Formats: sequence, structure tokens, C-alpha cells
Amino acid sequence: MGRPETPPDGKYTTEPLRFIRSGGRDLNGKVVNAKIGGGPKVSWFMRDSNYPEVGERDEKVLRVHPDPVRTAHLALVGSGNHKRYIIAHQNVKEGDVITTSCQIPPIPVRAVEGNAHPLGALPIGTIVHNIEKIPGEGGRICKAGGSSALILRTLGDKVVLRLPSKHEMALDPKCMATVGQVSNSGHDAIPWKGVGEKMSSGYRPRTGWRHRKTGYHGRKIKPKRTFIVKPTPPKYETFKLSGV
Amino acid sequence: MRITRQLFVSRKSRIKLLLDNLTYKDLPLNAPALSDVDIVKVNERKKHEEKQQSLPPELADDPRFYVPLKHEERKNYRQVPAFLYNNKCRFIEGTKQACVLTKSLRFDGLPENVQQLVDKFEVPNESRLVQKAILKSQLWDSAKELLPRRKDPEYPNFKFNREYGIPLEKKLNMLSFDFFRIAETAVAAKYPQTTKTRRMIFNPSGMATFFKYNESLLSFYVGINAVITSRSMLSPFVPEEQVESKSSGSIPSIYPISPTIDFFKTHNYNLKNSIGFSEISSKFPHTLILLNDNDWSEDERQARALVTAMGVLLAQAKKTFPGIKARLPAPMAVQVVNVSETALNFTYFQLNTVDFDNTEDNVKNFVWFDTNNVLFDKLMPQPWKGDEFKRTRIESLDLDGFKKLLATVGYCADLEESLTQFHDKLIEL
Repeated sequence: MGRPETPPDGKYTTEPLRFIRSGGRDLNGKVVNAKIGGGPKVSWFMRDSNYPEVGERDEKVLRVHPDPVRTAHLALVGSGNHKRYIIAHQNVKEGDVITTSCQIPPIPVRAVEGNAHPLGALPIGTIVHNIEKIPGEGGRICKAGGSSALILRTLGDKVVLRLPSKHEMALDPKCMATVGQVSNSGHDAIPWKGVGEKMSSGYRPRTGWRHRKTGYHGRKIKPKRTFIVKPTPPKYETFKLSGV
Repeated sequence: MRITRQLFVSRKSRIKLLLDNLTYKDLPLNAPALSDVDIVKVNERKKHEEKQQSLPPELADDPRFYVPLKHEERKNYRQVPAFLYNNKCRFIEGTKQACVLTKSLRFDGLPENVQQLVDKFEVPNESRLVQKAILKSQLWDSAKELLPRRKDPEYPNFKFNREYGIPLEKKLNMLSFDFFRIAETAVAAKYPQTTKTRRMIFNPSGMATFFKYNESLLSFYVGINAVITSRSMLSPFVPEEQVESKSSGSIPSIYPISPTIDFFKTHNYNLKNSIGFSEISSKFPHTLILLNDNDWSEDERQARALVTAMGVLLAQAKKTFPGIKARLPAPMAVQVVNVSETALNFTYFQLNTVDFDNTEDNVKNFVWFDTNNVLFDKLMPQPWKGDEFKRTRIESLDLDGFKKLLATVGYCADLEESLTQFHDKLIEL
């Protein structure tokens, strides 16, 4: 519901940055979505979902706190002279040590919560998050609060996963993923207290009290529209030859 | 749902996408040979075409098209990078990280030489003078400036009204300099020659050092609020004969992190080694005074005190023993007092070696921490609780911290008195 103010260098920082709310307005300044407006001033943190391209690295968890813009919690993690923010998994505490490794041994690795391994190194039945689609690209799948994916089986060269939408996806075994479930799992089960809480968090109501009624209001009974027209394959004349 | 222009446009592009990615499901019997078709394996995503670079602006100084300078073009560029430290570096692991950086063993409490001086300096009407100093800084000052917004962790959604009052910086200045004025008069009543040898300098400038730590250059620019100097060096807390026997403990490790994680890495820097007050007769630091005008925890404030003490002593050691790389022939010591709004913190640091890389060594530096000596309780208003909690309350005075302050200011005062008498007698002869 807005955009952040990225630093002019383009480099990664752990400092909080300004978050500009859109108010439902487009680039031209006109209202495109009237159900957005208001909300508290929040700061935006740069979250790193890329995996380092080294053999093995150890990192230590320094701080854990909720993220005002996203549903998952943030964990500050440091190694050497570099600090970064990552997605926090369910049972994370200050002082834990996390390892990432890019190797695929012949025997599958014992999965420890928080560590990152390629998909070919993990045994069947592990729960993972922050999964890459193409190796070296960065985490794309399962980043929201409470989500997780399950490794089902191997299919030849590829590894099959079950996503939170119950689709199955086949991926390269070199793609990286972290073990565990994302934090803040019950965030969608908490109902809103009322209109006041919604309005103060940035949502505006759907309609007012009295409006002129036109042909658009009311129950809609319309035929389904034909959406996709697949081009049919060309028809060939078929002859049945009988041997004489 | 109202169909808006954005949704209509996105619908069109989705149809286009679907039509582009269609495939045949049923192949015909007489299909053409597949050898003509190239199979493309997806290894990388399509990269967006780079937009053409816009033309340069007509005016060279147009601020709308400003591009910041690169690192090589700014001044003081060096190829070897350095890590910079200043007052605003906040150590993420606190005193543990600072101890690893300075290779120092940690002790809690006061050192023995200073513990013996508690209750030896008398101040008439001590509690009345301390209460006066507290109320001067908190209540009687006539400053009216807009204070920052308040947030209470017990009730985060409560909105306080904006208030006008005394800013934090002024409160700390009033409190600390009243305390040190009382302490210096008490010490001077017992040892009157210290008024000639000692000086108090406000905001000394130009304190800087540099050294190598694990093949990386560190550069310190240290900021101090005030300092008490004396004509002779402080006698160390542990004499030289007992240094090796007492440095038998081990320093804890912070394995995946290096202690320079909070420093600022640059290629543009200046190296400098100087103490700001070396051109006067009383040129040895006795106590450093730091005012905590921030919202850090007490642990982080003590870590800052340790690192500033180390920086000051390093600059002095490089001048008195030029070209030194390991153990000092004579150890050096300094005291630091940390003043926050309601409490006092003390650190006592002794420098024995300059070799900070080697953690398994016979000789280490020593540090004593004494944190959170609370003088009074300040309870801010919480109007949702009732009428009793509407105003700020200042309660329960505790004078232990003030007595420790008298002991730190009066350390080595008797030595200075005897030295000046010796010096005066020589002049007479």
C-alpha cells in the first residue's frame, strides 16, 4: 500500500527508511483504489532474501522484532563485518547460530530449524520456506507469516514440493531453501475489532450511506464470458488403408 | 467491486500473457518433425531491456539531474579501507564486544585502591546539597523548549500532549557540573595543593588515534564532554609486579561476529594521533566525564566509556613510548564517569599491552565496571491510572553513588600534594 524511499547508493543498509503511503493514487495523481487511505507512519527495513554464494557460512542472531509493513517478523543477523535482516522462523531466539551451505552430499542432511541447504540435500518430508525458483536468483516462495512448503518426492532430475495453495511444483535440486515455518503464524486468525481499528490502520470504507442507485447496483446474474479461446489444431484428412 | 482503470489494464496484459504461452495438447498424427524446433531450457529469467540513457542536461549545475560523486573523486581517497569510530557507534553486543576489542579482563565493582577512599571525604549538609542539585536540574530551571513525543510501553496507543520543558542535554549539564563542583571543594578542603595542579577542561577537541586490529585499520575520533587533568600520571590500580599473576582469566569469544561490525567502513579518511590538552602544565588525564544524551541501555553506555578510555590512553602511550608494539614498560590508568538522568556509572581502565590481536597471552588489560548507581526515582505521569499518577514524582534519594564519585575524584590527591611540596622546596633552594 505504498513504496519505500530507497537509498541513492543502491547498497544494502540496516537503517530504517521512510515509507510513503500511496493513498490509492496512481502515478498521474488520480484515485485508482478508493478503499485505501490514512494509516500510521511506519519505517521500512530492507529485507535480504538472497542466499550467499559461498560454500559455508555461520551467522548469529542478534535481534528479533516485528515488522510494521510485513506479516512475518524480522531477525537481525551478523557474521564478520556485515549485518543484514532476514525472515525469522517460528522458534527463533537471540543467540542462535545459523549455517548456510551450498553442497549436496550423497546422504541427505539432518534438517535443523533455521539452516539453509539446497533442495537436493534435504530429506523427504521436511518443511521449508523462502525457496528459490531458479538457482542463484533469491528466495521467492513462502515469505509471508505462517507459511511453509513440504517436500513430497523426487521425480527424476527434479524435486517436487507442495505449496501452501496445494499446488505441486517441480524444481531444480540446486535451489536453496531454509528449514522451518515462517514466524507469526496466527496473524490471520485474529479478527478486526471494528471499523475504528481498520480505519486507523489504512483501510477506508466501501461505500457511504446514501447513493443514487443505477443499473450497476443489485444482484448480478450474467452469463459466463468466454475468456480464453484456444486455437484448434489443423484438421488432417485421415484414410484407413486395408491391405488387399 | 468497482472496476478501476488499473484492473482493466492488468486484465488486458494477462490475456496477452496467456495467449503467448499456449501449447498444443493433442498432437496430430502426421506431425511435422521436431528436429526443426529448438527446445529452450529455462536457466535464467528474461532481463528487462535497458532503457536508453537520457541526454545530458543543458546546464551543467542543474540540481534536478545531480549525480553524487564516486568514492575515488572525493577528497582523502586511499586504496586501503579503514573502519571509523565515533560517539554514535552503538555496540550491538555491549560490553562483551568492547572487552574483546580492547583485550581486557572484566571485574565488577570498584578496585581496591578506590574502595578504601569511600567515606573518607566529608561534605557538610551532603543530602541537602545533592537534593538542591537534583531539583535545580529537574524543576527550577526556566527553560521552555518543545520536548520530543513520549511513548509509554505499558499503554502504547495512548497519545500524550506535547509538552514544553527542560531538554535532556541541559539537565545533564546542570546535574553533573554541580556534583563535580561539590566533589572538588571536598577534596581541596583536605588536600589544598590540588587546586594548583588540577584543571577541568570543557569539550576538549582534537583527540584521535589509529591502530591495526586483525589486519584492518581502525581510526578513532573520540568525543568527550569534560575532563579533569593533573600534573602527574595516575598510579595504576594493579602494580606492575602483580599484572601477570592477575591476568590468568580468559576473554569470552563472539565467534561469528568480529568486534568491528558496528564501525563505518570507508576509503576516504585521515589518520591522526593527538591529545587535545598537551600544551599546558597539567597534561595527564585523571577522569573523563561523559554525558549520556541518548536513549541507549546502560550496557551500551559503559561500552562507549571503555572504548573512549582506551583511545585516550593509546594516544598518550604513542607519545611517551614511541614505536611500541607490545607490553608497556609502565602501565597507565584512567577513570571514566558516565552521567545519565537518574544514575551514575563508573569505569576504571588500566592499559598494560598494545598488542590487541593475540587473545591467548600472558598479559592483558583490566577494566572495572560499576553500573546503575541510581540516585533517585523519577516516575512520569500515567493519567489512565488515576489522579495520583497525574504529575511527575521524584522519590527516594540514595547517596551511595555520590560517595563513590567523591572517591574517584579524590584518588591520587595525596600523591599530588606531596609532589608539589617537593617541587616548591626545590625552587626555594
